[in-house]
Amino acid sequence: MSNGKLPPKAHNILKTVSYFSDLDLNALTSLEGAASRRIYNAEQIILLEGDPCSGLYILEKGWLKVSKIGIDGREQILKTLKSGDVFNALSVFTDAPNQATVTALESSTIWLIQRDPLLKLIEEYPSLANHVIGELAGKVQYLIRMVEDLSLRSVEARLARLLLEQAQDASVQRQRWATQAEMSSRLGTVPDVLNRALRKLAEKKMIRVERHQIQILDKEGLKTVAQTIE
Amino acid sequence: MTHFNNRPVPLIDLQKCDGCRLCVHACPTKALDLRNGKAFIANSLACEYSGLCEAVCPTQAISRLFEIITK
Repeated sequence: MSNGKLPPKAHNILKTVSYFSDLDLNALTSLEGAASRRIYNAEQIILLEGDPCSGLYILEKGWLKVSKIGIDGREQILKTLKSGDVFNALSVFTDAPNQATVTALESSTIWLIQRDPLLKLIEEYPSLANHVIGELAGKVQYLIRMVEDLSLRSVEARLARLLLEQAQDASVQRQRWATQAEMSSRLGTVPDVLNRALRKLAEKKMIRVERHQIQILDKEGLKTVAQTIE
Repeated sequence: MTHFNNRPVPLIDLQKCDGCRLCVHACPTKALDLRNGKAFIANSLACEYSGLCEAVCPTQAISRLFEIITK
């Protein structure tokens, strides 16, 4: 670019990506030099799971699906991408092969910013690095919350089932006693998580823990919880 | 032999107990003490089944037993 002016199209697209919103004209020019634009038709593959990472992609216009092939060969769609979405960013920074396959669902216009020029730009522009760190940190926080939630919820369901199985009528001669170590082991977890699950069930008024007794108050409620399999 | 009654207390595995006294200090109602170098429930009436002794024991020598009943 002799006069340093970017073609309007590239400039507009790059500016909309939050990573690049703080960059000055020089930086954007460098970026544009590393960017290429392609159009894909429906059913065409943009990137393949397992291939070495090529760079960061921006979907300017169109609709894409992100999927993985399971061990059994079945395709599992993880999510869809819409205009303005950025994808494959994670692979750029971890130098890992593509984590999923991205396929066009309709005619789509896509920008690819190559990995090496992008990494070099990050070294030169701290604001870019900050943006990237912020985005990734946000993703990590979200995932941590999700994992905690998933793990607790499934323990809750298994706990509900265990309680229903083990419960005996108050009038029956008590035979079965369990320690928290045994219970948590049976549920495939640790006493800490077991305690949290017990607290959750108590909050929902389905059980009450009174000293050495776990009392089932709401059998039907527990049955419902027991049936929520992740 | 353990007697299952209306106010059970935590079980202490004397083979695992190494007499570190952490449970004695952790108990909010001072129900535990040491005897012959091992922990025991000195004051069973004071025991509230809080589980702090169980949680703090570094050798997992203490276990509270629970029964699951329908109300």
